[in-house]
Amino acid sequence: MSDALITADNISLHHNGKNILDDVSLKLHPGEFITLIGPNGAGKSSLIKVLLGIIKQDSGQVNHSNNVRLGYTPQSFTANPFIPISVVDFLTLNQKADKDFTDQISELTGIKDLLNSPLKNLSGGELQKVLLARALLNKPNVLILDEPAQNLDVDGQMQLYKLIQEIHQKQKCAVLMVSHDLHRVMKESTQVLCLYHHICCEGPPGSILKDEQFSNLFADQIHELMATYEHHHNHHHEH
Amino acid sequence: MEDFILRALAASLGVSVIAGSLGCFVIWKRLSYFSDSISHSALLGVALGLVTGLGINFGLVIVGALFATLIVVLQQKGFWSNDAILGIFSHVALSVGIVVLGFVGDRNIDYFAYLFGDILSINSQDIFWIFSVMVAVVVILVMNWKSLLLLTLNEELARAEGINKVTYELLFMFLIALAVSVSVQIVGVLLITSLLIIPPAIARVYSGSPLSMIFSSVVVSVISVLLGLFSSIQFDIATGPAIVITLGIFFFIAQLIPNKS
Repeated sequence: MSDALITADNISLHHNGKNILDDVSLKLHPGEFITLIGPNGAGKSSLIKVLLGIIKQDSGQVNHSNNVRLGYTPQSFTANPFIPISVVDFLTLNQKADKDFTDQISELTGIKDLLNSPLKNLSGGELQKVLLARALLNKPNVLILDEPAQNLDVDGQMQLYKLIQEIHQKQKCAVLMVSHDLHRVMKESTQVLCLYHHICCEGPPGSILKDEQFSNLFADQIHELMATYEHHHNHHHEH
Repeated sequence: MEDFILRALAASLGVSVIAGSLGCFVIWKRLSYFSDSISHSALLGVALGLVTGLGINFGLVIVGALFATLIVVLQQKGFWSNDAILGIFSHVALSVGIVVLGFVGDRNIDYFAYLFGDILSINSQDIFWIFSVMVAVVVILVMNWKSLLLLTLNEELARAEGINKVTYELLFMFLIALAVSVSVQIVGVLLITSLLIIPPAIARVYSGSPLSMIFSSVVVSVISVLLGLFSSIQFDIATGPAIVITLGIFFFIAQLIPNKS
């Protein structure tokens, strides 16, 4: 396999005497789609922030290869409501994108009609799409998404995941996504990482379902998931 | 026109550009009480300037920057809410300033001028200082505009894009200390915050972009300061309060304008 875009080696992070991350390592290769799952408070967002350099780990190393261009959407983004700023001004703030490319990305993410509205008037779903568009304007080869479907209704979630999948395939962009939605995770990821302060288990979606630690963490969701996943799998083979 | 009035006009223009533009960030960052605490430290700055012979303006900037840093250090401890820390600083700074100024100033020191402003006593050296600060503020804002704005809009996104939060916070506090130093003579220690927050608060009502808010804020500030200045001469009232009352009247009138989203 080609060289990793992002490599994290033995990352540990403590806060107020608690272990947030304990000896976590991961590699993100070109073309990969890694989904990071884990219960609330497992350290998922902290890991993302360490990878991005927003917070500093206590030990371990993070390396970005020279050609990495990052796109990032934070968890539960709120724009400062006191600043009057339109969507398009927000998109292009601190970005080098020209108008044509901005139009192209707005088209792709379906936010063309929103460009001139004030940023603070957007709904949760619209805001997620705008954040995704802003991340894409940097022409990333690594997209890091922290629970992008949070606060969306089922329809909105489906649309957003579809869009992310499309971007992953068309733009040849490696994706690292934090998600709660096990069904989706199984469908799109090439690799699943299950985090609970340390990495409990990792592997391709099919194999991780059979992992005992994984089953223990997600016991209640897993029964239902097995049913739908197996069904989907069979369905696929019939064609 | 008399020379002192011309100087007052020039000072009004310069200070309006400084306070009107920085004030937008004060409003966006919700720092009005913070700037109030810093401005209350100004009397101590005046005292320091007199004692050391460095001049009032340098004393103001040094004390302002020092207090701003102290406030941020205390906030990091996380024991108290921000408004408690700022409340403590605000009043302690004012009290210490009054006592120290009493010791070091001469007996006839005009507290009223420092507390409520004395725009008509501005000399040409002050004008030079105000315009130097104005150029510095404008240049710094223009050069760091994108980073400052993104950091104010959303911290996480800014930090992910490699913008160093601490550097810009310190830079911003230094700018506030500069703004305080030039505003003391115009409206006085007690009323500086109004010059920082009322013009942008009015401009916010009908601004569609951050840049247009800054321009409107500066324009509103110039008009209000000039009107306040003339009414203070006309009716022989204190200049600082006259300016703040003018701003207050404009603020309420602005509520009648149909607002932009």
